[in-house]
Amino acid sequence: MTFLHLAALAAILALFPVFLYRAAKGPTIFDRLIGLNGIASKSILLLVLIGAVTGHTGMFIDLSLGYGLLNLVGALAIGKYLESKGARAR
Amino acid sequence: MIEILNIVLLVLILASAVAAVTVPDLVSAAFVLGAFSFFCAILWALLGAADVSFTEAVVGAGVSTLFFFLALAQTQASAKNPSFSYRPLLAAFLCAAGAGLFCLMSAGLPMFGDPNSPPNSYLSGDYLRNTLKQTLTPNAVTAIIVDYRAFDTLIETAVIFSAAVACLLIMRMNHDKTA
Amino acid sequence: MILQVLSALLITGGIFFLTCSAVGAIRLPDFYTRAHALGMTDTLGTLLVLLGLALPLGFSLESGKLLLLAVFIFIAAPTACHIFVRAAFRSGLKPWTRETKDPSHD
Repeated sequence: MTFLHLAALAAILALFPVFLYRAAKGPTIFDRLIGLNGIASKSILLLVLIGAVTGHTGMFIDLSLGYGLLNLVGALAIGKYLESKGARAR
Repeated sequence: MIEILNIVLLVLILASAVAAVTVPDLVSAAFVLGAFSFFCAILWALLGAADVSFTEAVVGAGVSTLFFFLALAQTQASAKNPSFSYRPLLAAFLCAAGAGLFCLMSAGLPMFGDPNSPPNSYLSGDYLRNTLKQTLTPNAVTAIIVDYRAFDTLIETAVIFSAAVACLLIMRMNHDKTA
Repeated sequence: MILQVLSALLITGGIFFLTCSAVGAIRLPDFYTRAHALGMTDTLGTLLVLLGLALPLGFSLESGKLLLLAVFIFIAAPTACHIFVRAAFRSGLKPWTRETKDPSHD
């Protein structure tokens, strides 16, 4: 089982640069948001997998629950702001 | 295995830091800094420091990204990352002077890891020896903050929460008056 | 044993969908298509991996928390994606078509 968890960990780590590229390169501001959102959701999974590999499952699951809440709140704040202001797409 | 994970995370942190300096406009720099904070938070979690990790995720990735973004949205006309070759000499000189001052002042501190220095001689060893036995928390700093000083941390959190609520209420009142 | 195999299958499927979403994020031509790829595949992949991790734990506090996280992500991730797309649409970002001369294609 641990081998599978390690492989999943490696696969998710390999996905990070893709979203980092999208956050840095993304032509519009929304592309950057999506890149950051992708990094956030991947880090939730990464934390849970780290917990499964290292054995401290409880602590890491609590952390990832917190990250999930934070992720939603940040997305709501920025999305609402962009919607009300009408971002100049660039 | 965990060392490899550490190294990959450090490479990601370095890559996002370099990307934040080199991207052309400041809005994407703010978002890349958010990603940087997420990687840092994962690294802190990996080191067993749950509270630091959570603070980094909330402050670094959440709030400061939002603040940077809101500030940049107000001043977007002139918001460009300065070009990469532009290095003000005065700033470099000031940084060097500040660093020199810090080094000079730190000469008076006890040596790093000195066993006979006052903080190491009676308290740290006690915490380091007994933390894992008493609290089952792998990180000693986290154990001190959320186990030995749990009420302190709880009340601090309550203070910060009430401050945030008060800020929101004040802003809401102004908004209603002008609108 | 059956649970282990099932969990392995679920985690592998989740990684497959996550890889799909990453490919979509980097290959598709504009924001709306990327959001489409990310909003659905990402949620499904995350759910599958979380279920695959919760399955071998049986009935315990940890698997309960994992299920709670899965339910939360099932609600929150599509909501966030919807908010981004709605904000983009209302702020006047034009969808990409084949005829677009200057797309936001990188």
